[in-house]
Amino acid sequence: MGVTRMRLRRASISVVAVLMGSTSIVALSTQGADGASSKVRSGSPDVSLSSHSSGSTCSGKPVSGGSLVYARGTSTETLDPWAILNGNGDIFADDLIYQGLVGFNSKGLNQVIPAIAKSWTISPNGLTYTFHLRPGVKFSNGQPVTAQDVAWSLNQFGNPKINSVMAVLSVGYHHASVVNSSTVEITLTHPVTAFLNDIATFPAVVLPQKLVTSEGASFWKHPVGSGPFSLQTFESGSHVTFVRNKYYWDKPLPYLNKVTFNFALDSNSRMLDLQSGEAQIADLITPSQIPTIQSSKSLVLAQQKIPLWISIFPNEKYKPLANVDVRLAMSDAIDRKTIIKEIFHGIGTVPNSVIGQLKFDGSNSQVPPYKYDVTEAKKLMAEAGYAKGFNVTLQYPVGFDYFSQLGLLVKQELGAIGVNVTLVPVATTTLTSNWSLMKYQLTFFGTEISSDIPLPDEYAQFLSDPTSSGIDGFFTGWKDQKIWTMVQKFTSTTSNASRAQQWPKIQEALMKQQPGINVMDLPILTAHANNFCGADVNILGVDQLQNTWISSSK
Amino acid sequence: MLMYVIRRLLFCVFVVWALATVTFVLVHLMPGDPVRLALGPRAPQYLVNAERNRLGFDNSLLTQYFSYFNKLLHGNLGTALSLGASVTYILGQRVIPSVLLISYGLFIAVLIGVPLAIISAVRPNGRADHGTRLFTTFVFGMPTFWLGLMIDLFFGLKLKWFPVSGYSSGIGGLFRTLTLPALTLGLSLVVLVTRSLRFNLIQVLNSEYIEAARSRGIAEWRIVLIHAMRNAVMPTFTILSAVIGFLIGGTVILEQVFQIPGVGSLLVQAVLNRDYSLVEAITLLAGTSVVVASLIADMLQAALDPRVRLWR
Repeated sequence: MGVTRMRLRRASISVVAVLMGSTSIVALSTQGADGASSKVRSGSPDVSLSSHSSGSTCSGKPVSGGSLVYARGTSTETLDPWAILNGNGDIFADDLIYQGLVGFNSKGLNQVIPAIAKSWTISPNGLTYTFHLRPGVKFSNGQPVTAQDVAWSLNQFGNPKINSVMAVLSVGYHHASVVNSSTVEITLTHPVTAFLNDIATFPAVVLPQKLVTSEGASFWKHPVGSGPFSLQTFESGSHVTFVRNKYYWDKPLPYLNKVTFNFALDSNSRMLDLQSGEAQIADLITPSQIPTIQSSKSLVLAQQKIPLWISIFPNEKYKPLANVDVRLAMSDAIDRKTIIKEIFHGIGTVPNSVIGQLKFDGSNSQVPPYKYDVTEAKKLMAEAGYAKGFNVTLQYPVGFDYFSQLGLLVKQELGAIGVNVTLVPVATTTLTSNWSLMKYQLTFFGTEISSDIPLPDEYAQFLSDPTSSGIDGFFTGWKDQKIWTMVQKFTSTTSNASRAQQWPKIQEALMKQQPGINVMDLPILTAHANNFCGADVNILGVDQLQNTWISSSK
Repeated sequence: MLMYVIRRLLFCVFVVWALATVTFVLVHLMPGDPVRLALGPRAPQYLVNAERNRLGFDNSLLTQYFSYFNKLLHGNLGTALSLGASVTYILGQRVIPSVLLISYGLFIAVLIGVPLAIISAVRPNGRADHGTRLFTTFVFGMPTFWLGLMIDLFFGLKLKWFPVSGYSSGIGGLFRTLTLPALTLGLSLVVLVTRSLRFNLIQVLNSEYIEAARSRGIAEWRIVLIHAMRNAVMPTFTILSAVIGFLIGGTVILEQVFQIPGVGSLLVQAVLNRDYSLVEAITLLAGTSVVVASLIADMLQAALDPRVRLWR
């Protein structure tokens, strides 16, 4: 689970950076949260750590010390941030030991915050970013982080031959240079709206130039970064252990002395680890485990909103699905509330957007959420000329019990309007391959979809760019010139207030077209011991373990 | 004997070559582009093409085959595309936990199975015999996944005698972390040991020389453990040696349940990622293990039983 999601994340950024690099935008992200109209749902709402157990013993002030074992569903394969091999498994580990100039708010707010840089300015033409470095920042080996290290690291990030997997995040990047010992200047080839978001993600980390160049590939066996933790041991296929970085600048963080990622690829194993106390937190919680966790007095189910959703993609090369009324009918026939209640045990929300919860999303009063209306659905099918229905196949990822259930439920619901669904279980890698080659009629997009940046620009362009640099409506074959024009205007707008006004209109237009049928929005789920405190994630769902502490009471 | 060994070794080489060839063909028939999978569905096509060219995937299958074998003959198993490291290095790390798990599991199977087989054989169709057969059949019928979880729940979660998962090196660490998975494996193999040994023991215990031994007043325990076992045990070894090769990749479920970083889970990961080099290497490893284990079993049999002639 999640593998497909992260493989998509890796590749999707390739396209988004190409697309976003063609726009002329001055990024307006500065310190502090972006303003938003009171009518506009922020899309990346304030973090709401919603626990389903009242057994949490986290009260009082954080306590330093202790060790944490994290039962992780994705293994770490490399600690080279410029050559990730296993998506989240590598990213979450990198996030503990490395840091960049900026980062995302550690409480889940959609906000770029200072990290190694304490402040920055942006030139009026949006081509030059000047970063003022925080004094006294050191690597985990005690060496100071220098302006030269920063410039060199960013130039590595900006070199597609080095940063090949996530090169798309550096589209528009030109060069970083040292202005003085505390100032680094980055120039772009053209203004990039989401540049600060791009360098807030993991490949834009700062590393010690001399060590990396002298040690070469062996550096990644014992890397040095300026993050809250440093690497202690790395056993491939088994576990990776981090210890507190005593030189970390953001005192008194981290609270923990040690963090171990145990690679527990089986969901039952992760649950056993948690229940036995061998692990204090586990990720990739499956829906079937939710009742067990919720009924436990010693466990807490943590859910936090991030841009994460489940979608069914219709291939418009299959004639019935090219008809917008058919797509709308199928969407209306899906009872999302029942799915959320019966399969996901009440976790999740009925969406009002084709592409998940993102910044600038309109509220439910502005853009009505998906409805369940079989009568309307049948009417639409008749208007489309498919009153008698049609046959269609639906590919779904095999190996996930909740997707089997979801597939069956969708089959049943679409059957009510005459759409005869044949379920086709497919391995996730083949599912992704089929999708990118458009060898499907209906398909779930892997398990879940997540956005790589907390802005709608990425997926809006994936879906609507009809040019040769686009990806054919995100491999659905969908096109709409009017919406593409709106998206182009949106992504080239410099004012966040104006973007906040524009986006709900695009959101509504996409809802009327259904290039992808959003089944539900999901929070990211983890389960942890009730004395595990500070279970924060950033806006992209990356755990912020520097904020975590262990309460002495259970 | 020497000529026999040489002939068998040559035969082994032929079998391994055939196995490598079949594996190579089958792996390349799998749908999906390993380079595209490694780089992601929206990596620029020029990057995918360049990587395919670099790795030689653009060449004809025959050219790739000869290239693969050329490297194999030089001991080069290639690079694992999905893990960014040499196959030899990765296998070196992952094969030891699997070997230890299989060895420990076989030991437990023998430890439990042999006494049960003896108990059954000395009083066939008695209560102990019925009980043993019922127990071994029941355990054999349980899916390994479920059996492992139940053992984990009971001994790990409830009794807390062992950790529920994980792998640690060192004698103490291995004992702690491998006992439950090895117990699961051992129990699933007990039926092979018990049934085959019981059958052979009954046959042997009914033979004339055993009667003669009894009539000479030799103690029953000596008859069973020394005289009868020697003749009865070889077929069981033969069966177990055949099973070893399957276990190399067959412990994947146990490795997943107990989080053992072994070859089985690596194989699954490699197949899902279409990592040709890894799949070919692991399959070759498993096949070679079967061949070598069979050879050793045959030679042991000849050494233990003078009636067995391995050569003419």
